Amino acid sequence: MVTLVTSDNEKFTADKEVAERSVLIKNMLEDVGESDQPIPLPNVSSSVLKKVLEYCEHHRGEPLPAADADTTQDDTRKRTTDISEWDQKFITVDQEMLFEIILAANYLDIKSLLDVGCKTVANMIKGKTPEEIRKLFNIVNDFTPEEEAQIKKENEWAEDR
Amino acid sequence: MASSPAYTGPSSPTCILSLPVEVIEQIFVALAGSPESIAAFSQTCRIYSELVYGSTDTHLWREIYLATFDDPRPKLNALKRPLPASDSPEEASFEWRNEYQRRIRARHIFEASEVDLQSLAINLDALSSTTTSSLPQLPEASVSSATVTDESLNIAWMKQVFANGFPSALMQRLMGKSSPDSDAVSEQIIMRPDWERSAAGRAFYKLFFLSGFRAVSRRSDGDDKDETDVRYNLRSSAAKRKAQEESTLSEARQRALARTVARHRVYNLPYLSPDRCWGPFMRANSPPPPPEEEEESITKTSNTPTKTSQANGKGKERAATPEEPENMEVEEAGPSSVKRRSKRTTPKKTKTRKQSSFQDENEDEDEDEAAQVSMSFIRAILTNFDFYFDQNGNNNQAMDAEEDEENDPDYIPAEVGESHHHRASEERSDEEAEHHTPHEDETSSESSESFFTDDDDDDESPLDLFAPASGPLPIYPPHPHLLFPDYAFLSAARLVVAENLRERYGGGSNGETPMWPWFTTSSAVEATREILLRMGIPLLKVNESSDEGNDMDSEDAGGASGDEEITQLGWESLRMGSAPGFWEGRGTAEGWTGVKDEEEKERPEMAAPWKRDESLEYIDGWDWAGAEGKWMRAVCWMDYRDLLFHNLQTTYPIAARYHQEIQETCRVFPMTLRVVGFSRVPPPLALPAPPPSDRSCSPESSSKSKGKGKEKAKDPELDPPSSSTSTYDPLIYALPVIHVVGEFRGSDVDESVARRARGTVRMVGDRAIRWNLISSEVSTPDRDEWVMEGVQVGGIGSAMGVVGMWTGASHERGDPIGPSWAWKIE
Repeated sequence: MVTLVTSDNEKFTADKEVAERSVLIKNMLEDVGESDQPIPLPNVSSSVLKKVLEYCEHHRGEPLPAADADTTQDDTRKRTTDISEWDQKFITVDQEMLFEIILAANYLDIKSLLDVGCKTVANMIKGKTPEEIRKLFNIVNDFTPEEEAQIKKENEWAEDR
Repeated sequence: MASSPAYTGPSSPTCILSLPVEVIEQIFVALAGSPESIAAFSQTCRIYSELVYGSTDTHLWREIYLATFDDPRPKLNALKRPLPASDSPEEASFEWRNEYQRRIRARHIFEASEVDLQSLAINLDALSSTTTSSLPQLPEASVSSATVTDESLNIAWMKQVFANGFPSALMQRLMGKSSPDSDAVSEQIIMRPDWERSAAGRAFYKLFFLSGFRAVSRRSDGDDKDETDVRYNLRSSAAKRKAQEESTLSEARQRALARTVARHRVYNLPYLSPDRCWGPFMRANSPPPPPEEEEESITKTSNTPTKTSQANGKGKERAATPEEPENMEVEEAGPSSVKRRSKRTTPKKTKTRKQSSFQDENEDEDEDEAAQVSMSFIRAILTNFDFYFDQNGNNNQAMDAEEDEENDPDYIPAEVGESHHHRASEERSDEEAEHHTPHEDETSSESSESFFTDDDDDDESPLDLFAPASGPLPIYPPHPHLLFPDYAFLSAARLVVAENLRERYGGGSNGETPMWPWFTTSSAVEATREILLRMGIPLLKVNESSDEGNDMDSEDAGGASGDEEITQLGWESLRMGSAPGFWEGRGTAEGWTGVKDEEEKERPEMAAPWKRDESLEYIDGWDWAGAEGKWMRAVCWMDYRDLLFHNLQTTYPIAARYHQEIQETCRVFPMTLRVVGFSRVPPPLALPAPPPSDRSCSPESSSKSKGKGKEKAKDPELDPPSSSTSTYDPLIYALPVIHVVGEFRGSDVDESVARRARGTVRMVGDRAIRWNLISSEVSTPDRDEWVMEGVQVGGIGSAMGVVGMWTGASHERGDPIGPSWAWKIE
C-alpha cells in the first residue's frame, strides 16, 4: 500500500499497483525504495486525487504504455479515437474538475487519463465556432480586428464551403 | 450559444488557460479528425493562434498529421535508398503542416456544390498523393520497428472521402454527359475536350486511374447508414427506384456511360503515335498547357462571351499541341521544322490513292497556327479518313457494313480473334509499300523506316537510349523523366478491362463457375476473381444473380460490412509492395529496405536473354519492380472490322446506325517473366540534380515541383509536363532498366500455344513505372508480333499490377489497339 498526501493535507492509501499507474509515483517509489513514507502531491487537491484514484482503480491491471517511445504514444493516440463508456461517465464532471483532472493527469504522468481528458475537451470544441468556444471556456478575445481578419485568413484551409 | 450549460459557469480558478502548452497541443492533436475545429480553436485567442501558426517548430503539425495520415517516412526512406547517399534528415524537409492542410483542403471538392477550378488540380494531386503515400506493405524482415503497422490511415481516409464517389461534375466528364439543368461554368470547362490536358484534368485522370470507377452515389439527408437502408429498400420497390433514377443516374448507368466513353478512347486507332512512344504516354517537352488564367478569365468573365471564346480557342489549340509529333523537333531541331512540315504534306498529295479535297483543306488548316480548331481533332478525323480509304478502296460512301467486310483486306472474321491476327499482319505487308509513305510522314523523319520496320531491330538498342533528340522519336526517350503516363488513356483502359472482367465473371454465374466462352481455363477464372477482389469490386453472391443487370449494380450493396472490406481492398492493392511475392524478388527487399534477405543465396542464375543485344551493356541491378514471377494478363480486343467501325463511329456518330453490335473480346492468359539483366540510362548531364529535399515532400508528384501547400501552389499550371526541364528526379536514373524475358501462354483458340516475350521495366516521369513487353509470333518465335505498353497502377510492386495497351510490335500503320492489364499471381 502507498500513502499519498494531497495539497490540502489529506491522506489517501492505494494499492501499489493502482498508484503506479502514475508514472510520477512509480518513479518516486523506485527512487525511495521500500518505504512506508507518505508521498506528497502538492499539486493535487483531495477532491481531484479521489477522482484520479477512482480512474486508476478501474483501469488497474491494464497494460501501461511503454515508458520510452514517443512513437507508441502516437500509435495509441491514433488507434483509440473513442472514449470508452466508463471513461465517458467518469469524465462527465464540471469544467473546473475536468481541467483539474487533466492537470493532475499531466502532473502525475498518467497518459491514458490525460488522453481521455484532452479528447473530452476536443469533443467539447468540435463543431463550434470560435465565438462559441470562447463562450464555453471563458476565453477573452484579445485580437485586434486586423489580427482577427488575418488569423481567419490563415485558417481558410479548413473552411467548409 | 449552443454551448452545453453544464460547462458554462462563472469563471473558475482552473480554466482552459490554466492548461500547459503541451496539454493544449494534445487537445489540438485530438482535434485532427475535425480540422475545422482546429481552425476554430486557434481563432479564439492569441495564445492558441500563436501556438498553431506562430511556431516554427513543426512537431505540433507532425502530430496532427500523424493522427490522420500514415507516416510518410517509411516510404520516403525506401525510395531514397536507391539514391546515392545524400542524407538530409527527412524530419526537416517534410512539410507536415502544408501537406496536412493540402489534403484537408482537397476533401472539399467532394463536399462543394460547384467545382472550384482554380484549386482543382492541387486538390486532386493531394488526393493522389494521399493514395500513393500510404504505408508500403513492407516485408516481414523490416517490421522490426514499432512504427510499421499494416493498417493504413491514408486508405481509411480516402475511403471516407470517396464514400459518395467522385464529385458529379467530374463524373459527368467520365460519362461524357453533362447534366441538362446545370449551366455552371466550371462544369462546362470540365466538359471541354482539352480539359484533360490541363493540370486539373491530368490530376483528375491520374486519380481516376488509381481509384478506379467510383460512381456518384445518391446523397440522402441521413447519414451513411440511413442511405444504405434507403438503397436497400429502393431495390425492393420498383416504383421508388424509378423515382430515384430520375433524380440521379443509377450507378450501373453511370458505369455504362463511362465505359462507352472509355471504350472510344482505348480503341481509338489514331491514338497510336510515335509522339507517345507508341504507348499510353505523353512527352513533356511540348508547349505548356493552357495556363490557369484562361480558366480564371472564363470564370470571372463568364458574361462576356467574346473573351471566353477567344480564350477557349487559344486553349484548345495549345492544349492540342502535344499530339503533334513535330513538337519535339520544333523545340530541339529548330530550323528544320518548317522544312519538315512541307515535306509532310507533299507525299500525301502525290499519293496514288484518291484524296478528298476536304482532306487537303484540313491539311492546310493544320498548318495554320492561328486556326482556332483543335489540331488533334483534325488529325483524328484525317487519320480516320485515311484509314477508311485504305480499307475500303476509296469509297467515301461505303458505310455498308457488308461491303466493308468484302473489301477490307484486314478484316478478320469475328470468331478467330487473336491467334489469327498475325495472318492479318502478313496480309497487311502487301500494303506496306503503300502505307509506308504516309507512315513515314507521320513520324516526320527520313530515318524512321529503319527504326520502325526492321524486324531485327531490337527496341532496347542503346542507340535508342542515346539517340540525339533530333532523330526519329525514340520509343525509349533518352530522358525518361520527360515522359509521362497519359492517365486519361490509362484510366480508360483500366475501366474497360475492369468492366469486361466484371461482366464476364458475373455474367456467367448462375451458381456455377463462369466458364466458356468467357473463360477457357479455371486458372483464368481464379485470376479474374483475384483481380476483381484486388480492385475492390464486390463479387456477386450466387443468389443475387437472378436480378437482371444486377452485376452492374452490385457496388450499390457497398453498405454491407463484407463489401466494405472489399471496397477497401481497392485502395490496399495500390500500396507499394502489395503484389504477391514482391519482396522475394531478386534483391528487391534489400534494395528498398536495406535488410538483407538471408535466403537469398540459393537464387538460380539469371536466365539468358534469348535475343541478346550485344551493344547493350548489362550492369548489376535488382528487381526493384518485382517483375519476375507468374502473372496473368487480360487482353481485350475488337475484331478488326469492328475496330474500324468503332473508330468511325467516334468521328461520325451517324455511322452507329449501320453497325451497332460491336464485339469486344476479353481473355485472361497466363504469363511468366524472368529477369535477364539490367542496364542503365545515363542521367542528363546538362541538368543539375535537384536537392533531395525538393523531392522528399511528396514523392508521387515528385517531378512536380509544386503542390506542397497553398504558398507554393499558386500557379498549378506550371507543373509538368512543362516545367520538368528544370529539375529531374534522380530516382528515375538510379533505378536500372530491368530486362525480362518470358512466355505468354494461350490464345483465343488454343490454351497451349506459347509466345516468347521480352521487354523492359523502367521508371519514367511522375515516378510511374513503364512496362514494355513484346511478344513473338506463335510459329516464329524470333519475330515480334505484339507489344504491351503499360504503367503500374499505384505504388511500386502494387498488387493492382500494370494497365496499358497492346498494339503491333513493329508499329505499322493500321496496327490494332486495345486495352490490357497484367497482374502478378505469385
